Amino acid sequence: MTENAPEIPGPEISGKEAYVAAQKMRNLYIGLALAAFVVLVFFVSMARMSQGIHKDAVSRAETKAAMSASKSQ
Amino acid sequence: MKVQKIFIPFVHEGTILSSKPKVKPQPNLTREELAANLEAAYASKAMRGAPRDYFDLLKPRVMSLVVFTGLTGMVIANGQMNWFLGAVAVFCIAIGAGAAAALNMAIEGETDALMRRTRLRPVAAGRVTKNDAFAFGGVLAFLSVALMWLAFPDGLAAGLLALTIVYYVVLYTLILKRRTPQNIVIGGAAGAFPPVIGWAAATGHAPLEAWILFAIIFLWTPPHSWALALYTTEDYANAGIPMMPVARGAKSTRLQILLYSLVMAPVACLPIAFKMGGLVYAAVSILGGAFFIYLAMRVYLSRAGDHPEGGEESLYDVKKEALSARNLFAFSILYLTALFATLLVEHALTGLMS
Repeated sequence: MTENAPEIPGPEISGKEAYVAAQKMRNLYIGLALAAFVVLVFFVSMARMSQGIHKDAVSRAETKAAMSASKSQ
Repeated sequence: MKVQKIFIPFVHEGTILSSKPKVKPQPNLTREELAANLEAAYASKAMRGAPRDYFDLLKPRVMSLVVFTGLTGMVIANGQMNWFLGAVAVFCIAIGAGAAAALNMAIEGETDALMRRTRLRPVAAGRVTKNDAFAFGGVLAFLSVALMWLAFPDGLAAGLLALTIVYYVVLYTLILKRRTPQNIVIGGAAGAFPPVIGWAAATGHAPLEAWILFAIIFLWTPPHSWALALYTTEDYANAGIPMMPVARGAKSTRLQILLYSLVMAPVACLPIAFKMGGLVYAAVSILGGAFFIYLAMRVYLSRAGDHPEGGEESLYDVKKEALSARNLFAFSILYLTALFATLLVEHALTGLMS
C-alpha cells in the first residue's frame, strides 16, 4: 500500500447517480437479452430434435415399405 | 510489514530483484481535482448510453428492409420448413444486419459526425463510445451467425450471413468507402444477400432464382444511393468520401444512374420468366420499371447536383434543381418494396389456395 493515497470523494459527486442509473439499466437489458438468448437456443434445440425424430420416423416407414414390397415380389 | 533491503549487484531499478520498485510518477491530485475528474467522467454522455441509443446503432430502417427481403426469399423458396425455425432465421438476419450496422457506426463515428445526415447517430453524437459500439456489434454478429448455424446445421445460411457481415464491415466500410467512387456498387452487394440467405435457410440451397433476387437489389443500389448523393454531395465532400458526384461530378453521376436503371428494370422482370412472379408481379415490375426509367431520365436531363450547396434548415432542404433526384430516391424505396411485397403476397396467396 502506498502512503498518502488520495481519498476518493463520496457520493456527493453530481452526475454519479445518473451514471449508475444508466449503467444499471444497461446491465438489466444485457441480462434480459442473455436470458432470452438462452431460452431461444433451448427452443431451437427442441425444434431441431423434433425434426430429427420426424425424419427418423419417415425413413423407418420408407425402409419398412421397401422391405415389404421386395418380400411380396 | 517492512521489506528488508537485499543488496544484489548489477541489478537495475525496476526489475523483479530490485528492492526499489520502478513506479510511474503519479501527479499529486488534490481532493477537488480528483472530484472534478470523476464528475467529468460521470457527466460524460458517453457513459449514459440508453437502450434506445443501442437500438439506434442497429439502423432499424435499413434493418427492416433487409428483414423484408430476407423473408421474401424464404417464403418464395417453397421449402418445407418449420415455422419456428423460419422465424429464427428472419431474426438472425435482422440481428446480423444490425450487427453490421453497429460495427459500421463504430468505425465511421468521426466521419458521421462531419455529415449533416449522420451527425445525430449514437457514436457520432457521443452518446455511445466507439468501443461499446464495437463490442455490441461484435457480440451480436457472433451470436446471430451461431444461432443461424444451430437452427440450420448445413451451414449455408450461417455462412452467407457471416459473409454478408464481413463483406459490409471489412470490404465496404474499411476498404472501399474511402478509396473508390465504385464503393456503393461493390459494397451494395451486402444489402443484396438477405434474400439468398432466406432462400438458403428454407431449402439448404442457393439456386439461380435466389441470385436473381440478389441481382435486382444489387443493380437497384447504385441509382438509389447516387440519387441521394446528388443532393447531399456537400455532406460527402466534407467527410472526404469519394461518392460518385464528389469524385466524377454530377453529370457523370446522372448518366450512370440512367444506365443502371436501364439495366435494372429488365432484370427486375426476370422472376416472371422463372415463374417466381405471376401476373400481378408482371404488372408491378413492368410499370414500376418503366416509371423508374422515366424518373432516371428526368434526373439525367436535370441539373441535379450541379450546385450541391445544401440548406441548413433540414436534411430535406433540397434545391429545386435537385428535386428530380429526391423524387427518384423516394420512388426507388417504394419500387423495391412493391416488387418484393408483390412476390411475397402472390406466393402467400398461392400457398393458401393450393
